[in-house]
Amino acid sequence: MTVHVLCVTSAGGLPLFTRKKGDGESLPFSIVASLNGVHMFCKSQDVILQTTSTQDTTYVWDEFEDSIVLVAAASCSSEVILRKLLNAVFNSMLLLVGVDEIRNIRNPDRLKRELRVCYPLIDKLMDGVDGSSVNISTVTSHTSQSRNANACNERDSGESYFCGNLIGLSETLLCYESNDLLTCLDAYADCLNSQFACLLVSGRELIATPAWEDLHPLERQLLTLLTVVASPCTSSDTPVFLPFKSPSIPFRLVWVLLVPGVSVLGLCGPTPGLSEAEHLALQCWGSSADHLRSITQIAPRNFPHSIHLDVNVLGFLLINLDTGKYVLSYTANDKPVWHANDKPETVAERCNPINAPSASHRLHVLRTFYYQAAESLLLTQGDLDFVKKVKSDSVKESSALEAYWCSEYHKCHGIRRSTNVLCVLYGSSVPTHTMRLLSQQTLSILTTDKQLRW
Amino acid sequence: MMHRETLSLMTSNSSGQFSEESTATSENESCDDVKSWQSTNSSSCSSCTDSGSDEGSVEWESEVRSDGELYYIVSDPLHQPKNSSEPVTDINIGTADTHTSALKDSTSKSWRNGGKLVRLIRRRESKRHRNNVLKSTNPMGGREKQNPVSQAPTNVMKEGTDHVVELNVDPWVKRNLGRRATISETLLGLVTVCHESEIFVTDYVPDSLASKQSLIKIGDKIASINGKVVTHQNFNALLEAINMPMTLYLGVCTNPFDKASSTDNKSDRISYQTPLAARISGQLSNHDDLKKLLCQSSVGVLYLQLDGMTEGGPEDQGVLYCYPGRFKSNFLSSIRGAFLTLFQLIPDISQSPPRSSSILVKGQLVHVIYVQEGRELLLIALPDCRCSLAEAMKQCSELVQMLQFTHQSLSRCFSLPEHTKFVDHVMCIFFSRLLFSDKWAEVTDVDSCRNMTMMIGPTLPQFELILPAAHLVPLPREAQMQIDDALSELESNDIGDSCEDLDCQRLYTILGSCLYHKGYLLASHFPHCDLLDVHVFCRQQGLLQLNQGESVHSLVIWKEVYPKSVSRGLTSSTSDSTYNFPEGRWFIMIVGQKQDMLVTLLEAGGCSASLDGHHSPDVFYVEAAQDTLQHLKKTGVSSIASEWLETQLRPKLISPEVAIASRNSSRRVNSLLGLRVHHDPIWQSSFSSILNSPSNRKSTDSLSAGKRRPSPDHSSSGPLHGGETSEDSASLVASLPSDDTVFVNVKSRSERDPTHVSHSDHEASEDSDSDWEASDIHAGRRPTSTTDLSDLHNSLLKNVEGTVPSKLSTGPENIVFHYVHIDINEGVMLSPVHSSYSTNLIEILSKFRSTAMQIHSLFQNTISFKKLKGVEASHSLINKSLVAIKEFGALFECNLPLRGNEKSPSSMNFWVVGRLFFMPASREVYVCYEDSAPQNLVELAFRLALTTTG
Repeated sequence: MTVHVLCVTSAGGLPLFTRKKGDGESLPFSIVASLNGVHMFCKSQDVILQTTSTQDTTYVWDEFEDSIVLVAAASCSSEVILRKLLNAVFNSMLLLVGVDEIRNIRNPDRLKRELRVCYPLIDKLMDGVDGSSVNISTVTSHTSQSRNANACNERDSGESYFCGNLIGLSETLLCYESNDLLTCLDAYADCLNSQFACLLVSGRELIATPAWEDLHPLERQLLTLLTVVASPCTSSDTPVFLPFKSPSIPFRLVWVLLVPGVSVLGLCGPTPGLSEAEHLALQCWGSSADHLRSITQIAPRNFPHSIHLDVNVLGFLLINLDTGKYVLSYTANDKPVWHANDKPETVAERCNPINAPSASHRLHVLRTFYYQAAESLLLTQGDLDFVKKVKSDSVKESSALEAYWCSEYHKCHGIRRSTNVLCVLYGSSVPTHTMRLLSQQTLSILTTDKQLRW
Repeated sequence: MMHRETLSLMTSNSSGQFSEESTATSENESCDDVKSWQSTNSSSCSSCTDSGSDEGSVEWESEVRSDGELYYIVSDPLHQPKNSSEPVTDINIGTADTHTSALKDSTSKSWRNGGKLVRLIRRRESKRHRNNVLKSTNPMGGREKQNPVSQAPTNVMKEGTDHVVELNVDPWVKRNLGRRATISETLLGLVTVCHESEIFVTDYVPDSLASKQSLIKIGDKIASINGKVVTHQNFNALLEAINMPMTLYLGVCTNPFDKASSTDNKSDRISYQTPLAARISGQLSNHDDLKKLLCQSSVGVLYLQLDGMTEGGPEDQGVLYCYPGRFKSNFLSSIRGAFLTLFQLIPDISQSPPRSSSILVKGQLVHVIYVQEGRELLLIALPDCRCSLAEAMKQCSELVQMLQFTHQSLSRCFSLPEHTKFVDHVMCIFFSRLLFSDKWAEVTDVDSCRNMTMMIGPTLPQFELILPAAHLVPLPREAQMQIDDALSELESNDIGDSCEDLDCQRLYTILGSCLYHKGYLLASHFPHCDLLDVHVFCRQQGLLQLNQGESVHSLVIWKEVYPKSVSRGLTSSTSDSTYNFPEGRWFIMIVGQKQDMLVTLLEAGGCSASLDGHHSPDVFYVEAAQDTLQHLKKTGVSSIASEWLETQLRPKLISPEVAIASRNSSRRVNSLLGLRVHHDPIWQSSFSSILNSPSNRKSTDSLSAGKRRPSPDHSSSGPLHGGETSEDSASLVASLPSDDTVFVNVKSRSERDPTHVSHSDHEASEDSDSDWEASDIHAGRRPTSTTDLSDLHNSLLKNVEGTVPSKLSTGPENIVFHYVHIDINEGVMLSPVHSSYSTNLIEILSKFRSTAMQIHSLFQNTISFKKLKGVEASHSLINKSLVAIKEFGALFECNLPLRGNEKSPSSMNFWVVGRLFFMPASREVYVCYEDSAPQNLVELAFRLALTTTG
């Protein structure tokens, strides 16, 4: 599984950067030039080259702002995802460089240097492409050797930054105590003299101010990803452009770590400075430090431990199409981490039925199901545009209500009710029609509770 | 009679050496020749059919092209559907037609039944004729002298719509045509039908005077007899009044259908073709206009060389073929450099060559498909609004397969200039079928084409319509046996006995044959790869559409081909297999009558004579195939097939409207009373009919024993099950074949295995005690009278009427709307035939097809992963979450139109589910059903496979 992203100026064909994810060779300059040349040649003949696909690899070309050509190549991925990836890559360039710099490239070498700050972000985005980041040993071994799978499972649950990374959507988590924290957040935003602020738990939005929630989901995703890639420090101050809201006037993104795993983000003008912001954060959040610490325990599970889902539910992905946010839990029935450390054996036995996929595999399966089945069947064309929709669109394309697949090792079921889409991962022993009931039940548990603020 | 015999004994020298039986035959033969101009044709001996069937063969012989190929299609003027979307009903079926075929049966027997001499004579003629063709550059010179058309007296004015025909009749010597023959048949030799109180000729009685003179043509109206105006009331009376031999003067009005073409000075029967038939046979005059239209659409084909190009060569360097239009007007040619670059560049990056590119041309998305052969590259461009990428891939691979079938290789096909005309024709059909989609058959001229392209919206998804599989309609077992038997008889090529003594080698070996009815495959005796080749040929040439929509009077197609089963005739030096395919040449022969079509693959070389040069169709083989069709029609197979297609009882489906109605009415009752009520009138009637006829029931039951499950059993089998059934399907499926023969049956139809036929034969005669079984069906071996065959016909039909519909779904109600069962390995597909398309059904079907296509492509991951070896698997680039998926389903909502008493629009949910099976053979099943009782796809697929047992 290899993903390549190439960036070339459309005027001169100068390469700005190439990024590669996976075990393949990185592409030499001659090939980059040829791939761009083909696109350029077609354009000169009034034909726009969109995609080319081989048995297992897809190539996608896209041109932005008439000045930049992006090419993506990935094995076992679809055109739709790659096009989304390219769009996200371009927006992350806008985020850090600004639209003016990209529209009029005066000095390509300078732009090239400036774009280096985007690399971590782009690499993170490439993680989100379907089919990446699963290693084969977990797939093939978990059926025969449950021991081995358990080991994997433990290792994975140790990693708290195991994000869903669905391109174009912002990840959140579900939590009961969020209402108290919202007042703290509002106070902090007032102190920063800003409307935009949000609280991050393990790189996922927990709560946010209304203005932040109005941002485009892709903007929210990119902003939170920025903090994830810069995680070793305790605070940071980055100038950012908002690709949709203000592509040419920069804001300051101020990030302050409150307790390990919990941080607060704010978009503000020239004042206050970073040190002042840190001070303000301490003032606003100091009283609720214990509360914040307890919240971090939610992290890999991503929804409160007090909610019990059916034991057959191995993981789920819940998407709200109105606001473009999602919750992903791939350890839905695992005990909290601190319990698991006490008695790993029993937990493993209870929560890992025979043939159940390991945690990283679960994440992967859910993501694949979302890309391959849910997105094409349960979502309609306009669902993910998030451009302020005209509400009176009369002819609405209808989507499927449910979709499922059964594999030898697992089953997935997706269900859509109005703007909520829930994809659930089950073990392979669950009867097909029982999945429907369980999914409906799960959906109502997660979405009807007012306290969860879904 | 005695006198004639002696007379002919004196004239015929050769007869002495033959047995007495054959002497008699030969005498009758010569008698006929002598007497044919005034005879009463009293003889009913089979031998006389030689001249009779000649009439059929001569027609097409003049159409043979110089390279030996033949596309001969004559449409049936009276049988054209008024609206091609409606199924064609054979207006003659109950009346005159059956009698005609009864008479013609003597024809069909002639080549099976004794008559060695006749065969020999015919055989010599055909050989002689072939030589003629080979020698003379003009194929028209072949058999001109024997053509009855040219022999016809010219003293009758031909051009006028009214002319008078003299006919000598003799009521004393009536031909024995069976008691149901009409007087017009016995006396005039004309099969007539009454249409709006006028009398039309629909067919001739074979060997009759009228058929020989061909002054009266099929479709003509009989206006007067001896000056008296004829109406349907007095027609029979006038004829019955004739009580002595006399000369009749028939006033004939030329068929109004033919008026336009009769001015061509050609025989009307030959020239009448519907626009569709004309397009298929390549006789459309406005081909250039169509080409212009294609130029404006975003379609194109380019065949390029990958090597040998130099800087500064001519503009069209390396272009071997291009369509539509010349090099300049083809939009692909200007950007071919991009595709060439991509094609050479991408293998360096990702190990596999590109398969497709998508481009935007004038804002329209166009897919370009790459097909490589050696160092040459074929590019095909198709617009997205006509087919999605997945569909385009399927369409193109089918086109390529067809071209390989007809030309051995793409290189031969595109490079040799003598093929250009044919390839142009193929491309024209391919693209116009694509652009006009389902309206293709209706397109008549270019103006309407233009309007059509404006009108037609995006093509609806067409999943099963373009799958590489033939749509098989399994008939009831008895009919199936009839077909298998007839095809085996044909394939046995049983002329050896007459040839051995005369040192005459067979011209062709028959590799296999298959039978289509209305575009659906009824039986195939091909290996699966040949079946696919043949099917693809028929589909790409539009023959299936023709077969489905129109009735032909006669269709003969002959072409040299390169079947896959003989590795396209390429002797590969690399393969060191123990079995070498015989070097030879292969021909496809398609013979059609009405809506039946028989496809045969012939092999020359090997054990049969090896041939050089161009080969025109051999009269004997064409006639043998035509006779087989006649025989099948006589035994009632075609009418059963028609009826079977209309009724669709096994398995029975339900239309969305009926589903809603029954849901609203019956569910309430059921839930209250806990009873099951049948709301399906067809089911009830057929159920009662089977109860009322004990013999029928007996035969069905005895035949079925565990295979057919009558519905009562089904309902008593109780509550919904499927919940408990293990989902671990591998074990379940694996246990299936041992229980039942159904998989065997599905699988091995196409093998050329004589034991299979004899096996089913044997089984059936053991199982069944119905009366017709007792009389042998091998018409060739026993003297079978016409009454026997019509009995057979009737009993077969009765069998259809008494069939109990079967249901695929579990639960009290039938909830299945549509299904597709594909056996890719065998190239066979099962799917229902919808007689009418309501808007709801169209909506449901298009959802079904687009989803099924998606599921189908998803399953390819699993299929291709299964094929990989262990080491390859770990290195493959397939998404590991997708490699084991075996079932996929999606639930959709369908809005129903408002009905009178309802305020809010009601809706119905339906599932589209696909399932992949590996055991015992790889198969895919797609079902569309209403969302009520949960269904187990394994059971459903099993029940579906059962239907193929008939």
